[in-house]
Amino acid sequence: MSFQKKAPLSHKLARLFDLPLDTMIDWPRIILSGNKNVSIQNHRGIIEYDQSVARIGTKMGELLITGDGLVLVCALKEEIVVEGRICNIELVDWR
Amino acid sequence: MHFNRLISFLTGYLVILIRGAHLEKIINLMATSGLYVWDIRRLEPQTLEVKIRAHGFKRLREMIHRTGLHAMIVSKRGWPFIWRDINRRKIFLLGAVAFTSVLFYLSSFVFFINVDGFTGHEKERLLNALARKGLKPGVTRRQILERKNLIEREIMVDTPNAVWLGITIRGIVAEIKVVKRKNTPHLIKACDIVAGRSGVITKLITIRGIPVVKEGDSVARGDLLISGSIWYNDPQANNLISREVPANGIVEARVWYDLNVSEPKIVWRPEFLPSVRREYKLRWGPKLWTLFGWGEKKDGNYSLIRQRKRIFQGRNPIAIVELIKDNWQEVNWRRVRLSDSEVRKAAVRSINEKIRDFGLQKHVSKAMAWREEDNFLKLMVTLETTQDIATVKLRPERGGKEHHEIIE
Repeated sequence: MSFQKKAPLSHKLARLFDLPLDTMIDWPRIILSGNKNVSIQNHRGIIEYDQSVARIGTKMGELLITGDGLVLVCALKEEIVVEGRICNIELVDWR
Repeated sequence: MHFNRLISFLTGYLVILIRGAHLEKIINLMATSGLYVWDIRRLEPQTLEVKIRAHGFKRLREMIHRTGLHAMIVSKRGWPFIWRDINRRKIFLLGAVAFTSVLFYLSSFVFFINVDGFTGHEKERLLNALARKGLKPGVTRRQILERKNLIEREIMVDTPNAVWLGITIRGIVAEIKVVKRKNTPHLIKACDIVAGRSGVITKLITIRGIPVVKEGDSVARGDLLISGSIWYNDPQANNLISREVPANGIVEARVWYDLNVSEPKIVWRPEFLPSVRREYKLRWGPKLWTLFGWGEKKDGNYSLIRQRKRIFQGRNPIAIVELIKDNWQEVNWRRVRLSDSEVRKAAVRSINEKIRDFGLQKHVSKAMAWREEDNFLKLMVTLETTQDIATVKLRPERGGKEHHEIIE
């Protein structure tokens, strides 16, 4: 017998009123500008940071950014901006 | 982001080196506690460089103690720290302020005048003219900018060999650009327009100068029609400035001409006689040879009719070669009394020639008066016509200086 988790009420409301889900739910929002800059909103802190690797925790899972000369341009409660030569972005263990 | 950086510069910020293990922990602490940190850079595996606002350092120090890390301020940046450094060097600050003030003050003057378009004497003349109008090294930019258009106009009047002139003030340099006229007109001196004939003015068009008469005025010969002295107001100096210019205009007037001819009633007329002498001659330069001829020429009155036929013109007028035919006709002069109609016709013919000579064919009206005097018939014609009576009269030299008067 398969068990399927019910969708939360907020999801149902968002679908009903045709609203974007990221405004209703605190899903992470990742904005990548070229290969130079990536901005992550609704994060849950930095797990690891190096000049070549940045691991950032989110509600859905872990975000792995690899590249060269990575710098945390901005580290705020709501947003983290990583700048450098970004080679790879990986979603690790996402639900 | 840029606004935050600007605020950070104004409030002052620190560049800090944090050393220890698990540096991600301090980053998360700083981010969650609301400290604004930026440009986080991992320099070495256990070293982190962070920029933080100066007033947030106290809170950061507490966090560092709590996490067991070590922090060191590398540099202090931003306006408060710059200002503190400047305050320590008051003389330097004073010097910088004085230097800036002097530079600012001096930059409000014009020190150099560059002329583009004229060279040599023309350039010198232009520079002198500019100096007379107030544009010379040492005057303020403001003085020039206020009167720029006026100076340009006046210099254009004084410089007839310039077709266009523009003044541009760039910093302390006044750049004068001149476009040279290809065919320089003759320098026209200041002059008035006066009446060349007496008459009644019918049309007045002033091109330059100030008219002193109006349509319908009657003027005598020599009366001033358009004055070459113009006056205008200088609003900056509150002055009336007088300039002497070459007046110009069209002044048409109704004028009257009295033409007289005197025609004789008795004239001498030739009566041709049969005696004829005809000769053919050849001329070569100054030399003249008689080739052949016939007939007889006696003592008495002869009428000579000479006909020429050029054979070779040549470039040199001395080397003309021509054939000449001379016809000597004996005449007897007789005194003839002309009839009245003949005399009148001759008089009318003479007067028409005079009208043509004076260029009065397009006259408005004509009045004729006949008078007999002994053996002559006199005809006097009065013609009324419209013509331009404007005549140039040069003004006496005044040294070319302007005349100023204060308006009370």
